[in-house]
Amino acid sequence: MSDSTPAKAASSAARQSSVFKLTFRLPIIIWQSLFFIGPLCFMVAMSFFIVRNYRMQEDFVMKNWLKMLGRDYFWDSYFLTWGLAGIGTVVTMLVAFPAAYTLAFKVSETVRRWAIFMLIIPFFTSYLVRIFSWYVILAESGVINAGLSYLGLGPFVMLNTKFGTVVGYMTLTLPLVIILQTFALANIDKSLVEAAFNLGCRPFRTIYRVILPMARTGLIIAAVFCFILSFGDFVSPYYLGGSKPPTLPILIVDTVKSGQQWPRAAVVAVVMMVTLFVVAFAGIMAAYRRRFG
Amino acid sequence: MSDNRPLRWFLYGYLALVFTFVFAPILFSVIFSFNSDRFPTIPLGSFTLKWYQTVWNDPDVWEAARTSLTVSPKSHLRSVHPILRRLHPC
Repeated sequence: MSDSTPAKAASSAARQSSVFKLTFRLPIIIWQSLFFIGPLCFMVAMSFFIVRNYRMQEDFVMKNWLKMLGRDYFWDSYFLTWGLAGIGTVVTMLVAFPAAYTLAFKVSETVRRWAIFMLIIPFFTSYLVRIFSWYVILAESGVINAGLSYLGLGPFVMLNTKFGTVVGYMTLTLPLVIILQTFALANIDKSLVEAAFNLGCRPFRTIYRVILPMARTGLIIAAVFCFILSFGDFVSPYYLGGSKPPTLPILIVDTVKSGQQWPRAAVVAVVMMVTLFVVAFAGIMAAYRRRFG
Repeated sequence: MSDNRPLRWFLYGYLALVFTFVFAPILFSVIFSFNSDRFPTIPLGSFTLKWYQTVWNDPDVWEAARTSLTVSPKSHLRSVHPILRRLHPC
């Protein structure tokens, strides 16, 4: 050890540190391959299997793909899921923006920190429990209709509608979207906003021309997260949306339950994942592109 | 823009509304847990701890709690590990 040159010592230290790094990285790599990439490949393979007498057999046939993609109800369900998740994302982004704007520009650092903390609290409570709580609030004899009846307004049907589904989606995504939007807006260079104000730019024009372009990356990432969570959500359309017509996650459950059609459910799942991958990729491209248009 | 008081108060009110939306389900699940009626409807029944007693004395609940407690550290370990790595970059 004592006769080793500094260069030698440095290279051995580097090797040691790379081994050290590897020991820390390897578990997560192994874990991801075993429990994420492995099952993913298996699911793609499974979509080519065949079911005989309610039992799945290894095979390589296109039957499941042709059956699922050839059915109208699959495409109805596909576009319904797109529509609901799309509406959910637009509504959530619009509802969240003024809140995030307030948190980013109109309150002190302390208040913002507390607000972010408060927005993390819902993640500690079960999503399912919150959905059932909405059930109580939105039901025909629920809290909102009871309140409205005092004003003489008749009971509104809010459960088992698309409105219910979107409320459910927002329960899942709104806190996260506000947090992401707040960070996106708070990272903007305030002096540029002030410059726009000093140069006589009107508030809404400032938002449109200065704030939105500068916060674009964060805002698009928030929208992508919101869409992905809504698109894959099973609980809201099932319990608050009435599950009819089914969205894709409900279709997966239905397909598995009826006749053990795991391969066809795998087809739906693969289509969903490809869709979300394309959406996420397009979103990230749009988020990190140099400028608009 | 910086001295627009009505706008500022409007935004604070809006923020309060959004927080109401986020916390309403949590709040109501707490309120209805003390409600004496079997089904959660308005108007409320009387205050009761009956449901807490029922749950406390239900062996199934304890079994389910045990399951949750065994499962959650495992998934926790898995999700926290990348965060730990970021805190201690090596």
